[in-house]
Amino acid sequence: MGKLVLLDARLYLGGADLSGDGNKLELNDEAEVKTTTNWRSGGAREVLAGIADSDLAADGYFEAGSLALPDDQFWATRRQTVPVSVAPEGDGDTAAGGLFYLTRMLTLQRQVFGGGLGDVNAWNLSAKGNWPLARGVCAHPSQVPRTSTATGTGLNLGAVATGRHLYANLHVLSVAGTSTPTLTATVVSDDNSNFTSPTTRVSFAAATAVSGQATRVAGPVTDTWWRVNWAVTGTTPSFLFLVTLGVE
Amino acid sequence: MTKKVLLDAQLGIANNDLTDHTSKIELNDEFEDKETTTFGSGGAKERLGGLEESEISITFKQDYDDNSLDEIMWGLRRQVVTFACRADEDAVSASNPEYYGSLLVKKWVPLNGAVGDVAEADVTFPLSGPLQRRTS
Repeated sequence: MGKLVLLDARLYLGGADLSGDGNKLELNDEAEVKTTTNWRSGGAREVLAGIADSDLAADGYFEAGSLALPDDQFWATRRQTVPVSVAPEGDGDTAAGGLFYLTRMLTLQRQVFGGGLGDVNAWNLSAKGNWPLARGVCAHPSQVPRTSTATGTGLNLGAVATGRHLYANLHVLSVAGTSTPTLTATVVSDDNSNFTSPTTRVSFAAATAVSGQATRVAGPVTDTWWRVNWAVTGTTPSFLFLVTLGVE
Repeated sequence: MTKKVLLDAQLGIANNDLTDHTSKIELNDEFEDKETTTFGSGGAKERLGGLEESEISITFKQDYDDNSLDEIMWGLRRQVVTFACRADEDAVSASNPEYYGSLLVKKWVPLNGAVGDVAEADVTFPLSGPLQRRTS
């Protein structure tokens, strides 16, 4: 990849892919600075890292009409903690394994719409983390419609040590079909890439509408291979969804 | 060394040479301003230097390749690690001193920019312990 111009970054919030309505992103991870200066510090401040925090600032263009669009999604998730997944490049969500940052965030401030006469109607958003920010991967790509039960691509994310977690975000982006189409996604792990004896680590709630979920499982987990499985029911069902996983 | 334009400044953090990803370095050597003004100060403030509180601000060009900048800095978050920087790629000398010490990676910026921007990360790290200088 190397150095890059930001042309196709990705932002998923709740059940919305905001990439097509966004044009600016800033994601920060920062820890408090705690002073440990003492008489033997040689006259210079000494510091350690304290509690960590993350924040997101994003700008984009106003659109409304469904939960898949920013205004509806923002309104539905006001003052709520929602899953957020961010990628620097578009190939992050076209195949499993692409780089993603993920967490869950509380949306604290939003410019609903704005602009002067002749301007494109625009929004901006500020959100604060409600969990640690994880550096992870796409575990299920967002643009592949799923119409039946299947398993995803195995990913070697490593083990989860004691005190750490496997974080998992599910963004259900579109739902089609009749007879209450339902998507039930799980995350399994195993000690081998063939998943000969997988263990279910995460069970997302059954999704029947555009929505988002964030969950995590605590270590220790010695398995190093991880995969998303999904079950689809209904009549001519079709789902678009993104799953991101990360260990932090 | 005469006055010079910064063309090949060097930066290493935790023994990682990040020169190829660095486009700006600002190293500030600063002390607390401790006022000692008294009635005998003749109407002007008097002061002493207190604790050293230095910091380094860096602009990186982001890189998400395996084992490259983003992965390196993500792994150093919240740690106090060593750093070294100098103005010129030539060997350390009296005319090309190297500044070094320890810094706290208190912040990382995984993503920042608008469509069409070069992906960059602007960060400022406080030093932990004294800033040091060597000329050989």
